[in-house]
Amino acid sequence: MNCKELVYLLGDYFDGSMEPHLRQELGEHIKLCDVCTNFLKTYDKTRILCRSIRCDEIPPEVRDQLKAFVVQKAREHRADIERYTTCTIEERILFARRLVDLFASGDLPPALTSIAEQHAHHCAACAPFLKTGVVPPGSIPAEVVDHLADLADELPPGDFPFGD
Amino acid sequence: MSTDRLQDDNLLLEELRAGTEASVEALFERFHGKIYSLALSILKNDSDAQEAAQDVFITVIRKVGTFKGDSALYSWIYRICVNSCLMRLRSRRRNETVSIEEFMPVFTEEGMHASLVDDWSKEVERNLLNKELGGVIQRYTDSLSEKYRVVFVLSDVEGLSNEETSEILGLSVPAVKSRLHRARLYLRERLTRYMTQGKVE
Ligand SMILES: [Zn+2]
Repeated sequence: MNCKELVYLLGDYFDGSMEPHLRQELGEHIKLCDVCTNFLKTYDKTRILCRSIRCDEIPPEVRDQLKAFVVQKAREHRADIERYTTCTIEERILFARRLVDLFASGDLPPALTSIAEQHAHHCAACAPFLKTGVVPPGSIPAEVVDHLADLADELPPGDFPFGD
Repeated sequence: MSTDRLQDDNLLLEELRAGTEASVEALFERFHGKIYSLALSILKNDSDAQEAAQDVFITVIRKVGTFKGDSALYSWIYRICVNSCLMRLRSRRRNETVSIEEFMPVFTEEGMHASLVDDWSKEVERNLLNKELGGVIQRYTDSLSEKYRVVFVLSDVEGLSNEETSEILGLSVPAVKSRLHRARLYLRERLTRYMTQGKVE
């Protein structure tokens, strides 16, 4: 193992995924190489220092505001549920088609584009519709319509899905 | 309804779907600290972090009916949080991020270090995290591009495993490891220059 290889493997070394024979080679190299010793120590120190910038205390007044907001929104949401269920299936299909169309032509606003891309990563059913627009949007299966229509809910409140 | 019972993910989800107020409070108690700190680590701004946290809870409450449970509850919530932060970052015109290439270590053709490396790790122990150094680290992590910063924050700042980070971001584990490693190499080099030259570039 040379210095370059050693540096390359430092991530594995610290997350414990390094194979035993490599760990041994690394140990032997370190004994003989001051430069790598210093590199390893400062690499480790960097990780530790950066963890210490974590701000884990939420100020009490922020916490109270946030809680009041969340509880209030949850109440409103319960009241809204009826409105949601009255959103017709046709509206959802139209929405899904438009989303696939605009995604394919690159005209979807960035916020919804990134939500759609994320979703495509996780959902094999929707992925083909969100790749290149190869599938005609007229034939979207019900499951995909459901998923795509729900993507709008991930937008920040007040954002319009298609930017209008 | 005891709050203890709602420590269990499935029960909590069930209650949230049913829309009970106790479940909303249990959700809040369990996750608000983590959500806020993650948002603050990514966004570096209190009011942005607060707004992002609001969005996360709204989204979770709205989407809980369609959450399939194919990932752990916390990782679903973290993913929503990261997405919400990324959208805020993108809509905000950020200061220029640095190209990390010029801060990567340099080797000779034989694979040896091209220059000597100072060991400043002891130096830091002596004057452990004074305010200035804290600010410097903030500034350097802030200069990482989004691609590296989010992985770095989840793994090294929040302390999640590579597997957890990979699930939250929808990246492969090797991709997470490689981004994390490069982010650390970058930060190590910047800290080295700061420690040895004593000034922020
Ligand atoms: Zn070496």
